[in-house]
Amino acid sequence: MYAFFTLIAGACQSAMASFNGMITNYLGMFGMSLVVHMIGGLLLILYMKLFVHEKLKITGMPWYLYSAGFFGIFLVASSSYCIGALGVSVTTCISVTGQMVISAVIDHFGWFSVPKIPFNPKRIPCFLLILAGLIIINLA
Amino acid sequence: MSFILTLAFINGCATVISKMINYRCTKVLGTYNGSLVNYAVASLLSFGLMLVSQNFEIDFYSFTQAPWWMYLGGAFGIIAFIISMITLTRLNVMESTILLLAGQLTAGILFDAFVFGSLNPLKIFGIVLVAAGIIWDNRISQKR
Repeated sequence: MYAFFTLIAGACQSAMASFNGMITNYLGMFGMSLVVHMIGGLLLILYMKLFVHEKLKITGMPWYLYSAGFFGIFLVASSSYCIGALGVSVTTCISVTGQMVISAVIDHFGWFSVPKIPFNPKRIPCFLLILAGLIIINLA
Repeated sequence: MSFILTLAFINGCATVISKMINYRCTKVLGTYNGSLVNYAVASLLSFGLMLVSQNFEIDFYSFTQAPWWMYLGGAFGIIAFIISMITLTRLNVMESTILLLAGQLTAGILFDAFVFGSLNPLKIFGIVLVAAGIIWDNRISQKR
C-alpha cells in the first residue's frame, strides 16, 4: 500500500513537471515559478493547519539556509525548460544521473561537512550502463 | 542540444544540494515548516524577478489565458511531497527512491507519448537501461 502511494507520488512529480512546462508558455519562467510556489505553499499551510497542527514558523534559521528558495526557483525553471526540449522521461533520466554523480562526488570528498565515503569501484559498471542508456536516448 | 543536456544534468546536481539545504532547514524548523521556507522564499523571489524581467508591467491578462488545470502543477508537487513524507516512515530510502523513480518514469513516458507526442521504442529502451543502472547502483550503495 505504501509502495503504491510512493509510485503515485513519483507520477505526481512527473505531472507537476509537465504542467509547469506547459504553463511556462503562458506566464514565462518567473510567472510559472511564482504560481507554482504560491499554490504549493498555500496548500502546504492548509495541510499543516488541518492535519499536522504545527505552528507556522519560518524565521530563526541561519541566513544561508534561506537559499533553499533560490534553488527552488532554479529547479522548477530548469526542469520546465529541459522538459520542453527533451520530454519528461529523458529529463528525469539525466537529472537522476546528475544526482548520482554529484552525490558520489560529495560523499567521496566529504563536501558540506558530510561524512567522507570513498567511491566504491563496484559502482562503475552501473554508471556505464546508465551512460549507454543515455547515449541510446540521444541517438533515438 | 548539448546545452540542454548539461542543464538537465546540472538540474540533478542542484537537486541534491537543494535537498541537503532543505534537510538542514527541517532540522531547525521541523519537517513542514522547513519545507514551507522553500515555498515562501521562492514565491517572493520569483515575484521580484518577474517584476524586474517584465519592467514592472505585469501582464495579468496572460494569467487568465492559461487553462485552469495547468495551475494544478503546484498542487501535484505538494501531494508528492506529503505522500513521500508519510511513506518514508514505512519504507527504507532505497525502496522509496526506486519507487519514486519508477512512478516518475512510467508517468513521464505516458506524458511524453500522449501529451507531447515525442516517444519511440528506442528511447524507451534507453530509459529502461538508465533505470536499471540506477536501481543496480542503489543496491550496491545500500549494501555497504
